[in-house]
Amino acid sequence: MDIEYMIISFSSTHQAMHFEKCLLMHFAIELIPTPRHISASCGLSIKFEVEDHISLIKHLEDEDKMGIKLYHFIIGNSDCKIIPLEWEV
Amino acid sequence: MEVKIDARGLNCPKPVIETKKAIEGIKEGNIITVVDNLVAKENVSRLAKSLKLHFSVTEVDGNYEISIFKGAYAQSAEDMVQKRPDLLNAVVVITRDVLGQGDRALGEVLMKSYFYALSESEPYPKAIVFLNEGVKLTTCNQQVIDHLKKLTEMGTEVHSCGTCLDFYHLKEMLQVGTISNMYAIVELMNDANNTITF
Repeated sequence: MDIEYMIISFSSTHQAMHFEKCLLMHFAIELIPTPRHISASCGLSIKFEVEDHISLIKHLEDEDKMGIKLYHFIIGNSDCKIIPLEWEV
Repeated sequence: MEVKIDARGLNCPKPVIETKKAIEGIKEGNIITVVDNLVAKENVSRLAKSLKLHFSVTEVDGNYEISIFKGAYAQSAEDMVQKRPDLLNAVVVITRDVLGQGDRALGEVLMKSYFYALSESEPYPKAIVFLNEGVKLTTCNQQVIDHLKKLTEMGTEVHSCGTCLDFYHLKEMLQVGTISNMYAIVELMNDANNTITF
């Protein structure tokens, strides 16, 4: 069975820590080292469940998302699909 | 000598009794018990622990294989590690609740990040030892505790220093792994090929 999750990557460590603070009380998120498949970003990313996608984006509506990227990870048995997503839904 | 016991579908305490019989039945060798539920896995593991035998647990297709080593077959931890290519004969020693010196918030983030990456990367270390303020991680830091639980499922031992838990009044709050004393910690480090200290 495929494993799916969402990843937000950041352009700075301060940004990553700020977003963690914003989200931690409201969503089951994890601050993790940025997956190797994503190169252009700082070393930290936020991982969260696919089902929280819409409400999490809504929660971050007023945040400055300059340099912040959103990805959908689908990990299969032998392959890994990474789909870049827009902040607007 | 290798003995395999298929204890799937057997009710508690049958898997433990069968495993115990097999252990008593041979002088030295490897006993592999296959069970299909978590409780049986815990009980068989506890049996091996109580008999002070080296063992490892692997999950295969929803079943658990508990491999127990008896006698000269696995005198040293080295042997156990050789039987488990996904375990590295290294001990990680953590002496603080943050990683490195500098900003505390960054140190917390780095520590979480380290344990996430460690739990995602094979081979896993043979053991992780928590000393001094490090024991705050095995008692109070839920995210680190989750990563450590994953590591213990993969066979890594998690040891928290009893003296330190006692000093910080955290003894009752241990969430993962076992309480160890300095002799056990010294033995672990002496047996390891590599000790990584933070």
